[in-house]
Amino acid sequence: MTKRIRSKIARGSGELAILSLLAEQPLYGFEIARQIGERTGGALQFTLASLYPLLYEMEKRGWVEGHWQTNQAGRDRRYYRLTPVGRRRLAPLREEWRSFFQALDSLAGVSHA
Amino acid sequence: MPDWKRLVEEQLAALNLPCEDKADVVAELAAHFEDSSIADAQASETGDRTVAQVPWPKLTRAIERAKHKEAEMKGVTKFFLLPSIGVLFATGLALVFLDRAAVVQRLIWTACTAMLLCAAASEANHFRQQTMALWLPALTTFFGASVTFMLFLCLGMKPQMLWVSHDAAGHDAIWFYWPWLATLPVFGAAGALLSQRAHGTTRAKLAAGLSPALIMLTVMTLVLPYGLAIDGFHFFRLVSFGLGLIHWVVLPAIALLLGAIPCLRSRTRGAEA
Repeated sequence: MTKRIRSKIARGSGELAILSLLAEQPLYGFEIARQIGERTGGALQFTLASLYPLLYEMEKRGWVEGHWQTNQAGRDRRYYRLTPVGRRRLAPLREEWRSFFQALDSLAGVSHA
Repeated sequence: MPDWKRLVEEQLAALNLPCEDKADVVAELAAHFEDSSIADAQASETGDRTVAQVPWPKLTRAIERAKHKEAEMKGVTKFFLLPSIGVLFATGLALVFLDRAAVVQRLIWTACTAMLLCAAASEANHFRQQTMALWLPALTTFFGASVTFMLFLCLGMKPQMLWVSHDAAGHDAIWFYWPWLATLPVFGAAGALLSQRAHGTTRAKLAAGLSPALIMLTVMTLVLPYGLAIDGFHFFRLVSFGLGLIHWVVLPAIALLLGAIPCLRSRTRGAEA
């Protein structure tokens, strides 16, 4: 598998992970990275260098919007919330990944691995 | 607790975004480091090392790509400057190939370069960092040096001959355009300074400051094989080439470098991280 394909998969899975999380509640960057790491048992992990460019790209596309807000600890953090555009994007993205894994499963039995 | 904002600001010095956006990015990344350090007590003691682990140049480019809006060219660039540049360029090339109207050719190239600079200035918001730090300063330096040379020629500047040799193959000479060479440090300094303002690396500042000499070197290196192919190999051609190098590359490069040196020495923080 070429580096480009791997990078597209990582990017696509990152977008899905972020949109899914933000569909539940608005979160700021560090919390997004922490929750993705925790909830995937460390299988998906974002570094600072991979998370923020992706968030900014999604913000530019209008999928998410950021706003400064004080968190529970009293610190100003930039929270991201899903926009209606992002919410509409989430369903087809989920479907794309479902189809992708089904296809991979029928070929290589990955779901039983 | 380290001053995360300052550390991030230093590393993102080269980030080419409007001030407000840049301040937001700095504050957000600093907040991320702060949260990381709270979550991992060890990291709070080694702020510099934590920051050093981030691939900042790559992150800077990625943020710029992600944040920049799609380029929408202004009407004046799209409907006036670019078509005019195209027409002038085609006319200039036609005159070069027909070997006609040398004065008109100079005017056309000058107008072409001036319009290119206007187009660049009007669309500067869409440029990537390398364009701002290298190509625009280099073009400005080249334009300034060329126009000054033409102005001096119009004012009757003659080369000062230092040595002339006549033989059967033709004649060679070593000459200097002193007044023009004397102005070049100003353009070398301007190019390097423009590059420095755009957080250019030392190499970018040097290339921007020396661009007239580098462009002439490229042109001459391309012309030599062409001349040899057309006329066959003659020793006097190589001598002319060597003298041409001195006149148009080495001496201008020295003069430009004199102006550029002060900017080369003041290193841009974070730009070469």
